[in-house]
Amino acid sequence: MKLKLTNLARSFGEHKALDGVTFEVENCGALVFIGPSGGGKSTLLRILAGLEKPDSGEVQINGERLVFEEQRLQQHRRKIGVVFQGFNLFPHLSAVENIELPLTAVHGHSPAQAREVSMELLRRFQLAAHADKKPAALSGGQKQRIAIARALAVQPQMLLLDEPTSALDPAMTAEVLETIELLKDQGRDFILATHEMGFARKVADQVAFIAEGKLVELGAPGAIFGETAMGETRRFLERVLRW
Amino acid sequence: MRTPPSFFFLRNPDSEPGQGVYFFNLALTTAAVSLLGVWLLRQSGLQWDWEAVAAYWRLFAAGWATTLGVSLAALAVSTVIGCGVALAQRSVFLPLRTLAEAYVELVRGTPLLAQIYILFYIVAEAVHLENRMVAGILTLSIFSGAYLAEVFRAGINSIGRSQLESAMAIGLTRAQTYRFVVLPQAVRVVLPSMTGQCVSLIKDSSLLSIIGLNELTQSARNVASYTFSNLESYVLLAMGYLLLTLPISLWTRRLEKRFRYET
Repeated sequence: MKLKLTNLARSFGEHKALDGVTFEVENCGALVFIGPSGGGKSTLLRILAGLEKPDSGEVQINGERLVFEEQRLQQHRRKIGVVFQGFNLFPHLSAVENIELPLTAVHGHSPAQAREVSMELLRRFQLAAHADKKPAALSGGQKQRIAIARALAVQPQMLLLDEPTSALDPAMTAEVLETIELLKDQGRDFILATHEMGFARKVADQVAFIAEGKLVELGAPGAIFGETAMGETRRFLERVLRW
Repeated sequence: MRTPPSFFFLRNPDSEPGQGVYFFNLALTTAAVSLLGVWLLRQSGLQWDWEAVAAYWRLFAAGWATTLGVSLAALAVSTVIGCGVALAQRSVFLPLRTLAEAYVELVRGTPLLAQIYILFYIVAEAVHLENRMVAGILTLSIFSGAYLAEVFRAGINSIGRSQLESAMAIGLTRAQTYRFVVLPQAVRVVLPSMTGQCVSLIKDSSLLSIIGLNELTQSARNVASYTFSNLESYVLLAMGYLLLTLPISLWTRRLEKRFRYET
């Protein structure tokens, strides 16, 4: 999938969350956003997800310009899977119902079809035993994997994962990262914002370093994490990888 | 150290009493209240005459049925009004929003008694609505609708931003978001205050007696004036209302348990 961003900007009051981001990738693959918190990763993902409108600039997906009008955005959102840091499952629905809801309400599946698709995903993620539990009865790792299943069930064009492991302990983080690795193995297009540098290096086809609302550097993981990285990127990585 | 099970104490405010212990305590308090009642009656030295009142039981029954019917109808209409107004208060179309807000403030800020008179003698007169029953139901609905609107608005507001965002992200329309995400979660929040409003509505229907609607209160008044047994009539009146309100309270307690889930 081809992705092209031109001069994307978004401010919240005085704060410039995005300050003119421009880049182009021919083939999205596994694109990983790294960088300090508050640097603009989330805002960028939210704009790509159709949840936030930019003040200026343009987004093109496969050569098609994204129109930031409610009707068109709704169509766009239906083709994108989003996974949030806080899981955002629906607490009144069981795990399997959470996955079924977009299938039946938005994508025209019959209840039986939706059940089949959802259970298949839960089995693949080894969550079938938890299908009928409400989110409150699940661990953070399980919740996040169900959120991934919910995003995946509708066969999205691409998946956007906004710091999916930031609210999890190390064991649960590993569990969720393994699931994301499955996506990679299937060759799905996804964009992941994360602070898990080891994982970013391993899974990414391309890494974008984003700081202070700008894209500082975009390149292969070998280049970003290697000796050839630019000063700012290198300083950031040296600091976070030191411990 | 484990404390032994107690007849009177729970471990903490949220633990559930066993059924036996619960009914034991219920019986105990009922008995205590009854004893107090009997003692008060003795001390007051009143002479009761139930026979005179009993002769008019049909009047009571008819009044009770009217109260039931009026309350049910008003409950249905006021729920619709409440939902509509709660949504209108969140509308992006400002005239609708201000209209809804003005309605809520006007109704909540004035006594029902005044509203009944105004609606019956001015509005109903103006639109040639002569049926007292219909006028009464509408008045009560308009009154209760304002309170329900506030209850529903609080329910909607209790749904966090992340839930709305999640609904948006999976591509739900606005209407679908309300149907699948907001309402099912809001019901849980709203249920206790809605019950309270429902019980109030039943009791408030007693004021409709002033426009000559023969509901329970009006019947009790009539019987009292026919038989000169004021007290007996009003005791029956109180019991008649309890007969309507208690089941609602008990039923919603069960509903609350069913809707309960951890968040």
